[in-house]
Amino acid sequence: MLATKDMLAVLQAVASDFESHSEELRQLDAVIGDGDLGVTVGLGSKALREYLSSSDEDNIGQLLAKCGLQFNKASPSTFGTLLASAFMGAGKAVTGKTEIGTEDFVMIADGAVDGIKKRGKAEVGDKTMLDCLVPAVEAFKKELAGSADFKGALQAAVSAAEEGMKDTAPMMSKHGRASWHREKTIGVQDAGATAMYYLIESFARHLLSRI
Amino acid sequence: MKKIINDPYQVVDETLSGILKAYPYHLRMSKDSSRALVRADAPVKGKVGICTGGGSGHIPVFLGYVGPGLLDGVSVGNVFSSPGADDMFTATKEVNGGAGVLYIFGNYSGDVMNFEMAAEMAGMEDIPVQMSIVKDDVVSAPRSEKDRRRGVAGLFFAYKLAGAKADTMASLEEVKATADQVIEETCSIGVALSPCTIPAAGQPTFTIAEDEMEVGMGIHGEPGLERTKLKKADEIADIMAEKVIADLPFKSGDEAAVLINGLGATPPEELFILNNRFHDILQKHGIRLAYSAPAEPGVQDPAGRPRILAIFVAVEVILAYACH
Repeated sequence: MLATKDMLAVLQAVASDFESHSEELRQLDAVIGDGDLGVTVGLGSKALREYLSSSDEDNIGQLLAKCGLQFNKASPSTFGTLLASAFMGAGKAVTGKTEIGTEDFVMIADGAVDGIKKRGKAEVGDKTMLDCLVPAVEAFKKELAGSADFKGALQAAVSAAEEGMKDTAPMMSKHGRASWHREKTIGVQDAGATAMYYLIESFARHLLSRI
Repeated sequence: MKKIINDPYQVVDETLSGILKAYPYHLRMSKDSSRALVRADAPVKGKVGICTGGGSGHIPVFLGYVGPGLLDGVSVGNVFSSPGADDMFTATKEVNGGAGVLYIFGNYSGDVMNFEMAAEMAGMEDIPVQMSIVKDDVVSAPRSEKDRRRGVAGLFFAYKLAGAKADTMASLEEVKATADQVIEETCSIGVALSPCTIPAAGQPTFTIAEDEMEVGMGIHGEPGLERTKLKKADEIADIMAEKVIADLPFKSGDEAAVLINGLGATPPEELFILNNRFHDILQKHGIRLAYSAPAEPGVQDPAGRPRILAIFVAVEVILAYACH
């Protein structure tokens, strides 16, 4: 089980990790996007860190939803809004809970995917952050349904996320500014999926150190 | 491009500050956000509140249309970027007079996502919210895929007619129906003569030769249909009118309203020259020109982008309703 204060500590560590990737993500995004992903990640992570350092939220659902709002407020770009939708979807899935277990993590993961899909109207294969997140969530659930424990399932999720991120390279962009470039996007790994991988990897790593 | 600014990163906030000083009786800043402005007397009790919002760089769109007879609130993003859902929600709360709030805004993915999120936040606080998304740019997608079209100067007519409807104390559903009907019957096209420069970027967004024009380019530099040598005014008007008239189900005897706008760069004189031709073309089709507004506040662009926009829309009597 994970309590609100542990979730808060995990999110704080994730926000710091994420911020450190902003320059790298800016460069990747500038290849086929407009390069504003670096700014989004930098400003959004900073806002997240500041909010978490003073948050006295006692339930995990509200904590996650508010993280989304803070990120979006600092950075209402497409990525910022979609990530906020993921956080809000995840938060809604565990509304009012002050402690969460394995089943809640499944609901959080599904809530995040639903939040992004509903807002962005993209599907797997469109070369977006979903191409990283969805395989990760599927692997997580599959391992849990099998014989794996929570730790094993998290590790499987991270591996699937990494594979999903790399698999975006041969795809063609169908959404956002990148889609104006169409064929030119083939061969370039998606910046949004890359950012999502960093988040999943960091979240899993810090979660494992707390349970 | 020469610009009179202090700091490129302060352009939006300094602009807002100057506007509030110029129009203290019309506009005020919301209590919770410097990026949410509402009409000075908001909320109007019992009236549907209308909110809009979008990126900066298009004045008088969006905030220029906040006032009696028009809109109640606006959220303001950075140059060419959507405002955040939180600012939209702040404006929503402050304009809600108890009859709900209608969002009218242009069809851009960032704006759509943030307004949807704001609507959800409003829902959690039991404020009824509906959305009317303006999608009038005829060249951005075929009519069969109208939901992919960008929203441009058609905003002007949606604001005007929905604003007047709301003042009759109509319900949220009725005001939305008015806005949606306008959106369905409004069509626009742009012609670009030179690029704009986003202050923080410092460089023009694209290049176009001195003797060229691009038909159908979007207001942020989205690619258009084709680039040709600059033509005479009548020829440009013909190209624009043909695309618009073919897209709307006009029949002889219909009335149309025309808005021609220079985006702050093409001088009014040149817009009036175009207006001659639009008038003649409509007459040839048996369409009565009920309202024609060259150089009327439409979509102007301090980023300095000479552009011409023509809009044709079926007219209702309500267009004559006074607004400020």
